[in-house]
Amino acid sequence: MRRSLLARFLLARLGWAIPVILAILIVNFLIIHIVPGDPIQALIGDFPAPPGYADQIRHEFGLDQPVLTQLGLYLLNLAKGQLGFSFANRQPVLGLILQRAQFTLILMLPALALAASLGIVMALAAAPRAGSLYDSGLTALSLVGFSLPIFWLGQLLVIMFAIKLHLLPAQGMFSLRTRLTGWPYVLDVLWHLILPMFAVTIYYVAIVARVARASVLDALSQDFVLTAKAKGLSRRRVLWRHVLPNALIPVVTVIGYNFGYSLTGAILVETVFAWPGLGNLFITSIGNRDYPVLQGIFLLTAIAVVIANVATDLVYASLDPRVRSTGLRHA
Amino acid sequence: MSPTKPPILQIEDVRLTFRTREGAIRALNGASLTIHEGEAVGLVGESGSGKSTLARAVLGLNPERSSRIEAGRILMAGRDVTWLSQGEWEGERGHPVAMVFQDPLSFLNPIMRIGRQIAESIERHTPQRRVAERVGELLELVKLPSSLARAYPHELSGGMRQRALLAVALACEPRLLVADEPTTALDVTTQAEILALLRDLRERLGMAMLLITHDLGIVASACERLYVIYAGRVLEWGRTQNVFAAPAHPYTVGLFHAARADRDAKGRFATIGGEPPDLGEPAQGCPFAPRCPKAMTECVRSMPDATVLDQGESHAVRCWLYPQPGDAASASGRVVGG
Repeated sequence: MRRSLLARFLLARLGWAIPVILAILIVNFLIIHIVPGDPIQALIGDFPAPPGYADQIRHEFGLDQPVLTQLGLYLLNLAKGQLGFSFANRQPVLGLILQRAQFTLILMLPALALAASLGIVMALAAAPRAGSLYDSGLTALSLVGFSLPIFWLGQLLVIMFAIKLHLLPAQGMFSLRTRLTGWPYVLDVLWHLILPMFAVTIYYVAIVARVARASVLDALSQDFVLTAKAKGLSRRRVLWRHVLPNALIPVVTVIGYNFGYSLTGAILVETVFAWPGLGNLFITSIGNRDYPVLQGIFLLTAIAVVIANVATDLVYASLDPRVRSTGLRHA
Repeated sequence: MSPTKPPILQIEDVRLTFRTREGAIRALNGASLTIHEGEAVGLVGESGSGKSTLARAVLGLNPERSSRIEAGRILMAGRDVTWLSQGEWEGERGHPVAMVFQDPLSFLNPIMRIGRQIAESIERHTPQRRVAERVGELLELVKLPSSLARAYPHELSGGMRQRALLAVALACEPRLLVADEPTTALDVTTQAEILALLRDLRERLGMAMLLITHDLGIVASACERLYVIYAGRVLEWGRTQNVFAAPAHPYTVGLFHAARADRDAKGRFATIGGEPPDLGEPAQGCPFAPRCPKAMTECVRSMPDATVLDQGESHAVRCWLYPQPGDAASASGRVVGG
């Protein structure tokens, strides 16, 4: 019974996501046409081109056609899985951004997972002792972690661990001088991952710990906690089986929200550590006025946000039976 | 029940203070109460009288950091539990004393199936039993279909939730059930059903009960003895029939007038005038004195000892209107009668 309810819930949420994605596609297409700057000029550069050359290229790329026709072509190509060709990278956009997105995920997924579990455990330890030294310390630390500019922290980490101590690589995702394969390659990537992941984790731990502390504190004061204690359960069991599941929803919201944005949210970290992810590609593509790439990144990010939202809703529904039933009624 | 049975719960002159931002609050100011095995006892008082605090003190459920028992003793089946730490309480709760609470929706975990919430009690207290089977038995015991084990609290009605909460408590196999306003959140018909169920369960399981309520009618139908509590002090106690026949303390008298919807000379509903007392500054004397129609100078000065009103020693009151033990000679002038 529960499974089918959950499946229906998922379908309802997906049905709502499809028009959103369509709207995103259209806005995404139009926005690039409103932005000032001429891609053809950027492509030709300062090189003195013969008259008519620009027009010829413009015609070749179909940029002289009416906007609506261009939109139609754009959607048609999207349906075929073609997001265009990156002028600057000499490579189809889809393959390019998917590869870069992978690199970003290699950085963000472990960082978010680590931050989520650390933040929750810290909050579970702090909230039952609200007002204690440990609790105040955690609150202060998370305020600091939350307020530290991530690019500054990143550079400090590089100075400390890479330049002074020579413990970890300062930049990049792989060692450039060697061609590694198999396990040595994986270890090499992990080696490069430590510093940027640490920088991202500090920021998200601070966010998750703050939210989780507040919601654990709230759940602790709920009446059912008294029932759980009155039946003789241990404090530990009350905390993990009754308080935590009830406190998770706001935490899941924060994690889901940040996951959606994390694809491009890592721009600063990727720039500081020269991590070849989507954020990095985004910055260079702006410099190059590489419109197809930018459009592709917008699209991917928007879809990622929508999917993250659907996934968040789904986690709500699996956590809270009340969401399963009322969520369906409103969907 | 005959009072010769051994006591399952003895509360002796307990003083309990809450620390708040505005200062200390004396929630219990020398409260005493005894419940014998198998006996049903009512604890009657208005909001803020300390009755829920007393109930929670029995299981060490008052907030650890802000509340403190300053004096007195709590004996659970003869064992002193007054000074248990929170860690030590973990081993004591549920058996021999279990508890059900007022609002059955907020006191059930909203995201855990009813069956699981009952099963947790079983696993904790009688792990040797087959859990799923026992959950079904308990649901049947509180007259719920065993299929409800898979339901969530929000899918049940108020009365069903209260039964489920009762099943959670009964799974601990308690010898004393503390029920804190178990019917207050329910409508009148459902109230009657739950009370009938409680009576039935007590008979079948031979379990004692402490029923906390502000409703004298519920006490009359469910309890053999009753205690009247006001501002953290027990003012009067006795067999239900005796107290109902001749309430002694002016506060108890006022409660009865209000409960019967009596009218005064001008035809208005009888109420007890004045405000409930400020527990931040506990009175030297009787806490009811400022509202009492029969207050005298002694009342403000000090709290009288208990006066036993009948031979069977089952009805007693703490009020200056009655002769103090040991001053029978001077008593005649003060006995006015309630």
